[in-house]
Amino acid sequence: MNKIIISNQIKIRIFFCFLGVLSGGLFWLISCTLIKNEIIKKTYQQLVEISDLKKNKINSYFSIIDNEIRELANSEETKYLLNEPLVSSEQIMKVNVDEESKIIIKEIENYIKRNPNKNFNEFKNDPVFQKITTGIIGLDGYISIESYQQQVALFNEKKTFFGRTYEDIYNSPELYKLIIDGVKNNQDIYGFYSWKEKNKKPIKRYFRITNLGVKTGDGVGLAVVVAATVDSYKMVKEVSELNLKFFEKNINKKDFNNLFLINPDGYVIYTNTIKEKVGSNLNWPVNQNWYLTKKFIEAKNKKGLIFSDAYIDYYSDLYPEFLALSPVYDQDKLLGYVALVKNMNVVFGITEDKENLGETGESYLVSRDQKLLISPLRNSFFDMFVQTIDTDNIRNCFSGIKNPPINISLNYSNERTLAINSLITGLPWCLATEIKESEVLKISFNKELFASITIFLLFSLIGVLVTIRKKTGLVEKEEVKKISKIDNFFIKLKIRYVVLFSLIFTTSYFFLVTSFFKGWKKAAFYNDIPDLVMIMVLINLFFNAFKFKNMVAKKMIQWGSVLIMIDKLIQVFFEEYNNNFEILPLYFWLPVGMVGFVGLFLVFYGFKKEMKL
Amino acid sequence: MTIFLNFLTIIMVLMAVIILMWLISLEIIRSKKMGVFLPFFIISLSYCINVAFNFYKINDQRAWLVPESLLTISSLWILIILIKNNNV
Repeated sequence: MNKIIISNQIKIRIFFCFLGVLSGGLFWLISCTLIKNEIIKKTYQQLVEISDLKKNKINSYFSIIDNEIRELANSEETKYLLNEPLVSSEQIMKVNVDEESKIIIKEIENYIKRNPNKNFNEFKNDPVFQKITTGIIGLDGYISIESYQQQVALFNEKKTFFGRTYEDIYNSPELYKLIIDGVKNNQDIYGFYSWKEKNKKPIKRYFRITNLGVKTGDGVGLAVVVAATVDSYKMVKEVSELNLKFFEKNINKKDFNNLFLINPDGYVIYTNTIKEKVGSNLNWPVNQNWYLTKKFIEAKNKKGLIFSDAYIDYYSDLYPEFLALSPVYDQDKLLGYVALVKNMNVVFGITEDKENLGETGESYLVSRDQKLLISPLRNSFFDMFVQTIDTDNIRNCFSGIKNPPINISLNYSNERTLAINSLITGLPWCLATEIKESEVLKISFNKELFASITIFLLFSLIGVLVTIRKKTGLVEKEEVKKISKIDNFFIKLKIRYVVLFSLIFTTSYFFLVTSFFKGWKKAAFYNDIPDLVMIMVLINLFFNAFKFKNMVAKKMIQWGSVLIMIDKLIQVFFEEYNNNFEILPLYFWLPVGMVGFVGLFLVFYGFKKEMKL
Repeated sequence: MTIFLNFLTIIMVLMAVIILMWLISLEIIRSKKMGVFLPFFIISLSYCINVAFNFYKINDQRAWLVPESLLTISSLWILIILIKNNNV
């Protein structure tokens, strides 16, 4: 079997090729990493700026609302209205009960229309129908469904009237008369009547019987009865026109969705839209689940201005609303509370702004219970208040953990994003600003690839140049030395001239490099001086090599000293950078360090050859 | 990534130093002459100090003066040996 012999020339060329691949690869790796890091850093910085800008805008908006509500709370009109004594009001109570009954009647009618084949007895036993028709009105009022044809009460909340005739139920002669007249004329019946229960004082009540426009499947006509006690509703005796105008002006001018005035006991004494709530009390069980009641209780405990979470009052609303509630004091006496409702279109406008956020960037608000409040994507992918955003970014936000220098975390759809969060001051909301990492890293590295290939080719070229057999290069066997004119010049060159030249060169280089930074006075002398002396030595070594008799040694030492010189020249630059700015990462030194090592190996072999060891 | 690249740098320099020291040792054994290879040995030692400084993140200029000076002095030593060798 023939042994494959590889000549030294080929070995050196392979070595240089390998070095080229290594250096090119390292350059590629380092440059790509640096560029990626730089882009991520820049984008993140941009995200921080966007997030801060949006947060500031939201905070400014809420500080305006803060001022508005404080202005209202301190106004004479508010104080005057809240200071007025409350009285029972038949008129207010009638409006209230009529509005409530309208809603209930609509619900019942819709249910009967949806079940056209159900007969009277089936409805009677239908739990859903019973649930719809057994609500509470006000403090102690009730709803009941009655069959006026049969004069029998079917359902009501207390279930005390089941199957009993009108005669049994209504022990008030005036009420009985009203009902009978109404039934005869087939009209809606309403009015006030006196009601007396056993061992109790008679009380004044209001009732309304409304015939439903639809009949059951077996043709039985139904009527809805709502009734409530007059005394339970309380209202200011008289609200002046001036006061009303003041509030309406405020509402229109400042774009409030609603305005409530509540007395300390919980009676709603003013509202501009939800008329059925005027005169009712927030402490009544019927109002327990109302967002206003919750905030009223909170404000009573907190004794200061509070903002609510966002909520949707009606499903048809385009934007959710939020509520701000503030106590009203006259000196130290608590007069009541003022609450204003605004929709979140302004906040939505701030968050939906996608400027500088690219294709996948977005900002959204999340409430403390990690429910999505508002997002540009709300209409296409997410349901507001339903989607839970349980991500590291949001958890950190509410836990008060500061944003790391660069935060790459998984978003709500498990994709890697550059994420930043800001807690909105005074509100239980977190503003998250995110952009997908994949979009940020869509970068072309063509230039770096080109540079890497160039590095590889350069090393390969050096490998070829140092191993050319004829004229100049490295040879396997010693060749007869041909002395050219140039060689002769360098051979005769005296050492002192070379030392002088190297001294001038290194000094100039030192001043040149330091001029890029903070000048020679602030140079890294301890690092620079040994390197500059080394460069001087290497220049001398280079020129001294012309005197060598061995051509291989000459070329090796010359190439070696040049490579080490390159390493040292770049090192001086890096050291100045370290001294003046920041410490460069260690891997920056690797490519130049490797070049230096190759030079050292060449010098070592050249030295060995020249010394004939 | 930075940590990995820094580690890679230290490993590569260390490998190069080991190879250099190995070759020097072989040459010393082969030629039975130690004095002429001593500067290369000192250069290798200075690179070892470099690696140690990098590993422990020592950035003090004065500390770095030691390995850098060793390197320079050794180079000068090599130059002197070669000049003497040519002039004899």
